Amino acid sequence: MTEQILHIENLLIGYKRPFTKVFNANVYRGNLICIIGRNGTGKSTLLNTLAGIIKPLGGNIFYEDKNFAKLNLREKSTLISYVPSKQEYLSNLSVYDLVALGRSPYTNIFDRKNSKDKIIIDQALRNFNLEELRDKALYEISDGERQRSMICRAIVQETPLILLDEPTAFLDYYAKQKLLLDLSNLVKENNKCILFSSHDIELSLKYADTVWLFHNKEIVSIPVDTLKESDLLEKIMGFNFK
Amino acid sequence: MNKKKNIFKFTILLFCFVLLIIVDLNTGHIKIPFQEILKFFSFSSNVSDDFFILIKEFRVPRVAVAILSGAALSVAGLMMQTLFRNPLAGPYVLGVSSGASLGVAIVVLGASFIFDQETAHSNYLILIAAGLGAAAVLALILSVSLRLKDILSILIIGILIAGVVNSIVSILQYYANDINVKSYVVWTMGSLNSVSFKDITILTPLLLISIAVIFGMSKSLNLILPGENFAKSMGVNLTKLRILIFIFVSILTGAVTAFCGPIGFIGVAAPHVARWFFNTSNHFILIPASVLLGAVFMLCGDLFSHIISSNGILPINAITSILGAPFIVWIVIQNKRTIV
Repeated sequence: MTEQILHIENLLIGYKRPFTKVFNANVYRGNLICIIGRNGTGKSTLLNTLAGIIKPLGGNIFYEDKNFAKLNLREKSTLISYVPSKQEYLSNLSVYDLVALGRSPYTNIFDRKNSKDKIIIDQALRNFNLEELRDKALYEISDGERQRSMICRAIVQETPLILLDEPTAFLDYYAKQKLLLDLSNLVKENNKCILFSSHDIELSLKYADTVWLFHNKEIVSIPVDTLKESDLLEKIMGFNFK
Repeated sequence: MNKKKNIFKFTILLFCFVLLIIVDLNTGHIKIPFQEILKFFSFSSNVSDDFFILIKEFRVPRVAVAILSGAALSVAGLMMQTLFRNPLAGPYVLGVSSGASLGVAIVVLGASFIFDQETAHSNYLILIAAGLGAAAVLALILSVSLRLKDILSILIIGILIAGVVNSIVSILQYYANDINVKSYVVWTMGSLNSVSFKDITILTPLLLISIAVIFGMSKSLNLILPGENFAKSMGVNLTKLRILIFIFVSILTGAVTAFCGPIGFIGVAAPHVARWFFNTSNHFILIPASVLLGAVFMLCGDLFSHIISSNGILPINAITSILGAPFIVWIVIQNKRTIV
């Protein structure tokens, strides 16, 4: 019996005008969900809405039994971590400093990290192969390394729900595979739920449990196995499994 | 490893800071022997009366103002660079300095029609005018920033406001009489000497508390570095943070501008040097570093303004620009790219 983590009720997403028809879904822990759709269909808007960065045009999002609209920002930041598709700005922040920011919802005003915080950070840096880069500034490293640092930061935040907007975009093939494998392990071992959007369909379907497909102004939630048997993907994305 | 390096760097800065304080106390029209300065600070009773008054009434206020104004402008500049993610941002850019100048211009250039000359040039009236001027520009920008989400648009509007304000000051100057124009122009050149011991008792708590509050905002300032959406997802209340930054930038800038005139370059240069010297964007390090570097720069500027001309003091504003600009050029060339 898996626990429900999100209950999405008649959700309307968009800026002023809705991108899609109302969307209903239940999301359970232990699930890796991949969001697939053509460019400009609203994948990022959906993730932004779930992350609380933009307000929904209608409907409700319930996190467990709490109404999302009523949570304050700090509470949200302990429930949901979010990695935007591109890092908005480069800075002189070191990789370590960035990853350590992931602990900030739990630290005091002076961002004092206790030994537990430090262990979590060090372990995540090791898992993401970022140890050698820890003192490098964000502007000095490659797009892929920066992407990895951002995802590492989200993991360090230790939220039950993680939202990743195109996490595989800047990674090489090996790193993509490693990342998706790590995500799928993380979801299973720690009973989390990860939602990510991706254009790497073949690879994503290998690891994801469920797919949210943007199609004809609708979001459809389909288990991966069902999707693989249907011809939906070929129809929408021109993608062929064979 | 990094921590040790940082402690070492802070020690170097502190050493420079203390050294400059002593040298600057010693410098002026009359050279005060180092022994007398040491005696003064060890509360020894055998300091000669002349030196005691000279140190207490003139040197200590001057050095204290140099430290406070340098630290305040530097921290204000750092906050604006972080908020606008623009390495060129400083208290000038938002028009806060210009707003303060306008307040002072209205009082110095225009108010002699209403008050007598004496009242119009009193320090307190100027302080209030500068504060109101800075606050007026601030209120304007704040109201715009609540409508505009894009921080760059706000920056552009800040530059436009500064332009309009400067034009109004020009018009005021055109109609004012010679004496008032002269005293206004002298004010714009900046001076650390017009501040009395009593003024310092107001300035010190005001600036120190502001800087302390800003230091308390370091965590949020760090969180907005990777981007505003990121900060929001990490629980930062952006509107609140912006309002707080605006308020404290205008307190810091308004107070310093009122007492010392519009002093340029420290606000841009010191945070840059801090970022380069400590090779970080972490505000828990950058804010104390900017405080120290701002103070060090200002003390250097003050020192130069006394050393270069033997009879009289050069305007501090000219000195900070002449010393500050090449420094920034050097850092930009060293880094090849400038990142906040």
